[in-house]
Amino acid sequence: MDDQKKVGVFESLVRSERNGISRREFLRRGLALGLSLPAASGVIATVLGAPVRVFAQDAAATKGGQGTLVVEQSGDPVSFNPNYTIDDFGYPIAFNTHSMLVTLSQDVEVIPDIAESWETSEDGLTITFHLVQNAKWHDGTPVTSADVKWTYEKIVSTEGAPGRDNLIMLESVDTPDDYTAVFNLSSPSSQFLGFLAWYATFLLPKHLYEGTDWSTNPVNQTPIGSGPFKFVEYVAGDHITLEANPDYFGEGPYMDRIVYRIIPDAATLEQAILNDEVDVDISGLFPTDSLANVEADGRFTTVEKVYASNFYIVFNHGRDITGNIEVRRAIGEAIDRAQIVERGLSGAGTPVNTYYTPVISWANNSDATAPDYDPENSKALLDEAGYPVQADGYRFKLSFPYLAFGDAWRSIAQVIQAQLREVGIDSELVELEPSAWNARVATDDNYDITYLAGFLGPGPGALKNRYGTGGGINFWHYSNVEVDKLLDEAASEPNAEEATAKYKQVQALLAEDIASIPFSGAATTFVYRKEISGLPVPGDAAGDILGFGNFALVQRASS
Amino acid sequence: MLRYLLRQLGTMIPTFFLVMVISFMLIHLAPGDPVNRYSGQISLSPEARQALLVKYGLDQPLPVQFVTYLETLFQGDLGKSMLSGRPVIEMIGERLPATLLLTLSSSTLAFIGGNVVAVLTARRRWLDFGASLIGYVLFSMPTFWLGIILIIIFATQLDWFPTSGFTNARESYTGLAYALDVLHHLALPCLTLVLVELPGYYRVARASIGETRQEDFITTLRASGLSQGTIFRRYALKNALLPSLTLFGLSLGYALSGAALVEIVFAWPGVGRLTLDSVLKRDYPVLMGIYLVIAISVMAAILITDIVYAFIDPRIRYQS
Repeated sequence: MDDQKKVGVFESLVRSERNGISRREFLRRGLALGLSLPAASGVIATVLGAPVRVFAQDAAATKGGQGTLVVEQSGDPVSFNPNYTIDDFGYPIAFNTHSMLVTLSQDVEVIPDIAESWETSEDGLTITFHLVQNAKWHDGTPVTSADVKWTYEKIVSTEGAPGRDNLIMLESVDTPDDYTAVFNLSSPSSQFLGFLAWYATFLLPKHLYEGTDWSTNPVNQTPIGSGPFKFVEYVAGDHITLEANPDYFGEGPYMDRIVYRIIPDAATLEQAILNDEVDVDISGLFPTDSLANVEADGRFTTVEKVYASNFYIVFNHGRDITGNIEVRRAIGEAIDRAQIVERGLSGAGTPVNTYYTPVISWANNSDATAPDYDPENSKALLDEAGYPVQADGYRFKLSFPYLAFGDAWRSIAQVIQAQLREVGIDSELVELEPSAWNARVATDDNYDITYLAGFLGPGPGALKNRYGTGGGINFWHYSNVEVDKLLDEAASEPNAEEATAKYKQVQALLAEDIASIPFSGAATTFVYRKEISGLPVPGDAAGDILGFGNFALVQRASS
Repeated sequence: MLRYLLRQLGTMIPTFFLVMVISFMLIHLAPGDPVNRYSGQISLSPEARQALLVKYGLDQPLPVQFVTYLETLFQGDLGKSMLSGRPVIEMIGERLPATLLLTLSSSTLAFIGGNVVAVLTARRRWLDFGASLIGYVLFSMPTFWLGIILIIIFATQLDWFPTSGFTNARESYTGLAYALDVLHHLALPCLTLVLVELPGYYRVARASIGETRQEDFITTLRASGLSQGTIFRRYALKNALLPSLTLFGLSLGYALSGAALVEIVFAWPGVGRLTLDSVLKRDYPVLMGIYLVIAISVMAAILITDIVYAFIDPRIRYQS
């Protein structure tokens, strides 16, 4: 009796983790934290131009004064050094304690943070960043280009640092003066700025880290950053408290304190919000089924967040049946996307049939699509391919392990299984906890199909990890030399438009090969109290000028 | 008595080692490559994998890893978390106050409550029937579900208690106000555990009272003309409470392991949640540390229960 309940509890925990998926891969709640972040069109915009963030002139006059903001946090951060390890629960907090050089807006564009402007050279080999001149570390030391040099050289020279591979073309950083940092690249990169603005690339104080082991430095427990809020305390399992940084270089902060309450369970979160114990949930944990309750209540704003992430069916290309393109086409034609969204995702998503995300529309090749739903043709294809229906009513049976990320993930797998049975394909569902799933699909190579989701930003360079030969997520043996060549060319193409054109060609090849079957985009709903404004969420201008999770502009209207 | 104690202690040392060996093997038998978890990659190149294995000391054969672990253990060091690099002793230590507060208070209340109910209903047929029925219902209730129901009734509807957490996030209380705030937050998770655990104590006490009342010495007392009430209070009760005392003693052994389900529902910052997080993240040193602490506390609880027993029950004292 209790066991069923236990599963429910574990789900909500697991769901809130990024779990063993690639560092670039945010699964569901991982999605929830990360998907929004990243950026895209900005890559082009900023390579060409140099946007400047404008702050209110009287910024210094308004620091703090608006009380405490209580924010949902669904798990414990690993540490408060946001750069040395993957840490999705530390990531949202780091936006308030730390700054980046550049960051990503809610529309996945590269926008200024501590670098107020930048230029890229003609050949794409140097990027010059101009820093704001009034930024200070929380201990009062000024933030200078020396910190920039140390941080980013440290990232690319540290094996295992999550930001390293993405920024590996960074050779050195020159510091002609205190507020100018020149990045020298070994080759031009159309994806560099996007990755610089994304994950595990926060600016760290050189004077506290230099000469120490950055994975065990005590500063990791009591962080000193340059963000809008200062670290006050962390009570493991309960809460993290931050207080307003009066010396913040930008506008704000307006709140006196931010308290992240660690609440791992979705049902509890719902009650805590109703009971006025939590002001804001932008974690994505809030249960979709309960949205009607808070909407009817009248005290809360709900806003849908669509992530730059696709759900997609993955084939083991190394096996006879799933290695056969006609079988993959037949499976694609057996998939009814609208039904998966409705029954599997409870409506939280939209059908998607492109190999990149429609959310980052400038990079998405909307002509390169996966097969459309056509069950009759699917059966014909399977007959032709030499897989007639056997005595047991099925043509063949596929092994289908899937990730134990909660109800939605289980429902999706069940809907896919039912749809495949309609065309005579049986499958054996096995729900596996992330590490066990990882062992089975990647290490043991013991599966026919499975499915994934994940953040496809900050730019189309994210395709390489999934479809490039030997990519960190490409455990399914997909390999096409032409795709590899185009991915490499696109990544080192200094001209942004040409780079994008090449990425669109890649998507055309993926569609031709039916490399996978994308079926849905992912979405969640944020819930927060009506009187709160300035959150970096859809529909609020703060999200256009601040990174995901940055609460500098959050205000509480006096009511 | 001393010999008895020494003998108990003597069996504990091999038991302790056995527990450590089994825990260590079990943790490493869990499917999945921990370095995938630590690096966040689904598939790693052999070189990258090897580099990470070396970094985390996982490239050595298991027995070597175990010996290395024991060596650091005997220097009084539980090691460091593979993920955060923080000392394990610190990570467990900071969770212990909340855990002990919850488990000790609920076990004690359930123990007292279960026995009181058993005694009050023992000689009243209808009350006994009613208590048994309610006991069954509570006993079979999923902790998780009961917790949410209590939140909805007492926090959302009646507004008597806070929904979850250890303290009020909007205030920074100190001193007495802080203590009262913690107690206020403790009420619902504690009540949940009491409701789930109480029927166990009740049933043991009830069965034991029933049995004791059938025993020969009670019949003898009855024949000597003592009133039923006096026999029950003075003679039957003392003997009947022994088994539930054992149960209570053993439950104290598990006090340090926390109550994961209740901790999740009430966002209570206890050891149970740390254990679960560490399992999912395959943070081996933290898990070993937790198992070590639990093993020691369970053995200590058994020893203390034996001693207390010997004090209360002369039969045991004389036998040894």
